[in-house]
Amino acid sequence: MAVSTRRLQKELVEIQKQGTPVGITLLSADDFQTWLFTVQVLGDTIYSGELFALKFRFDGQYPIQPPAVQFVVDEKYQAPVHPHVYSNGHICASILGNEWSPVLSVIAVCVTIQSMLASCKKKERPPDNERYVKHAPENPKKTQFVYHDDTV
Amino acid sequence: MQRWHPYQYLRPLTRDSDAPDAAHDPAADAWVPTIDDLRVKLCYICREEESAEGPQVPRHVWVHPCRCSLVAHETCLLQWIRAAEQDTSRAANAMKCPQCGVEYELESDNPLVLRIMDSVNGGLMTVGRAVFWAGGGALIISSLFGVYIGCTAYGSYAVQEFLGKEMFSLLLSEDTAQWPWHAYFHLPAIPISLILARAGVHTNFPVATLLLAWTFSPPVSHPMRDMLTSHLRLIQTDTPAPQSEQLVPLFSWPPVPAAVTVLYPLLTKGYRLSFNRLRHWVLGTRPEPKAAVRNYIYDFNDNAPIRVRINHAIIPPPRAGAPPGQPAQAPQPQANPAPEPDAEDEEDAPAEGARTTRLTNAQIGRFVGGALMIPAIASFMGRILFRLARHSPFLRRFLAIRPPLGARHYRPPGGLIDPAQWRDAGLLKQMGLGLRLGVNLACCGTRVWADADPVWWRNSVGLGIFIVIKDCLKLVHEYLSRREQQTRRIKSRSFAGVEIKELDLIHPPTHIAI
Repeated sequence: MAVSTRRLQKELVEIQKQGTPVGITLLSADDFQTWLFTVQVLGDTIYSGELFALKFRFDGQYPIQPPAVQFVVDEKYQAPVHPHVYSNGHICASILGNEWSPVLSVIAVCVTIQSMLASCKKKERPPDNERYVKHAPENPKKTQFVYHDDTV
Repeated sequence: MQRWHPYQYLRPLTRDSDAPDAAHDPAADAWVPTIDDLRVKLCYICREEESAEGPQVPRHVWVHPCRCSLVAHETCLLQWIRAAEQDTSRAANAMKCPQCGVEYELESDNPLVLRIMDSVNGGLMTVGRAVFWAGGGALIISSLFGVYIGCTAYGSYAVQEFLGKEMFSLLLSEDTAQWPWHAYFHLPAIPISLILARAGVHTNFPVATLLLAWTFSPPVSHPMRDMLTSHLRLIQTDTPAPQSEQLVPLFSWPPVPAAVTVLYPLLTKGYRLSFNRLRHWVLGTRPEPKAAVRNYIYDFNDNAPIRVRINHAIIPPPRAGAPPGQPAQAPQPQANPAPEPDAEDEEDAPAEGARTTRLTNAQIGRFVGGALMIPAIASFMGRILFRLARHSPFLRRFLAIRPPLGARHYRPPGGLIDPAQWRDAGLLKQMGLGLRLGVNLACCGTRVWADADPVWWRNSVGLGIFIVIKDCLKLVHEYLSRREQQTRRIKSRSFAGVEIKELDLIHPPTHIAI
């Protein structure tokens, strides 16, 4: 069995045993390629009452390579309006790129993104949203993001 | 290729201050546990556990590489470091603990041979990079050099055509080894200046490169022996010729090149003005303020125009309705008075069309080819004038035709300055003489210009005549096509072939057979 599958199996068992953090629920984890979570930002934030869905895609290299993580954009879910989230659901976050570390886990990524949303004060798209969405690859991992702003 | 670096020297700086190393304190009775003392080990990378109670087969090698509680399989950690190092943006984070940030230390078998090979490899990479850039540079330079050679060859051809064979062989000659140094600047500039002049960027360019540049140039073709004798003559002349004979007089016929250079733009301007007046008189139009900004559309193959915008700020020319004095372009039907805005629209369309110039390949070729044909045309016209001059003494005098010098044996008179006078003169007088000589050279050119047959002069005159003829032909063409457009009528036909019953006629014929 591949290392990625064994590690994901352990993470899944842990989720089932200990449950997910508040505001995060597991939607589906039918295989070890794609997992879906719903994310809710709790407390008094600009996203209160909104429900988002996060899609994780794993290749055989996980956890050496980071998972491909994006917000689901379909009839049911929309990507949050956030300066680091493009309207096609792609997320510009350094922990999904050059600051990824195998010590992180699926739940840790969920919590990080949840807190990224919670700390946001102003709903706006990234300045280059139009241009990026027009030319973006399907998989956000193929994008070379430039992480310019750590404050939001 | 990534390789393992010796990180032995990268010890964390905080190590000694934060906690004393056991090795530094042999008398420490405080027992410090190691990785082997852990009961349960959890790899932070693959999340596999290993318990000391239940020994696994095969046993893994475990490491504790940092100062926090994270432990990992050595294979997992090495795999992570290798993967992260391959991505330059991640490499910075690869060699330290994600939790406590302590740098990992690597030990590896890094013998001298490997280090030598690595450095040789790196050196070869550097050489490869240098070869790549040098090769690319050489390619660009050689193609630029090819353009330069082509332009220079054309320039020497143009000089030969324009100044005539005799002066060409005196001033430049076929032998490139004899060329004066400035030829390598002026010759390649000739085609460029011809094209620029045709584009209307600067009207003086061809005069400067074709004519003025060669006036200072001493003759090159007479042999070294002649140069020496003329030099010797400068030193030991017994009876120097009077200076007035040596220097070229400023006011002579044909005009000296400098005078031509000064007069040329004035002449061109005056000609353009008067010809434009003639043109408007012939065509029955009135001069309009020229729209300063024009759109150039480059039509590469008719269907996909490449738009070259010269300037985005298009200022529409002021037009207050229809000027009353403007002659109507075509007789307007009186029964259908056009409303004012419509009339403006109708006028705007051609104005916009006039401001937008469609450049086709044929036009560009014609433009460049026409510019480069100028020396050949001038030479051709000059030859015609030369033939005509055989029958007209006046023309002969006007063109100042002189017998050929015999370029091979021409030796310009030496001793421009009387050596005795030079020796006797004071410093101030010497400077004055030198200045006079310099000014005379700049204005009138070397002696060659006064002695040789001024082919350049009849060529210039011929070129002027050619331009006038060409402009007149163009005007005739314009006039005829304008008249053709104004006299256009659409031919009306009879109703032959149409059923008469279908037509509502004023006087229907009575004998319609039903």
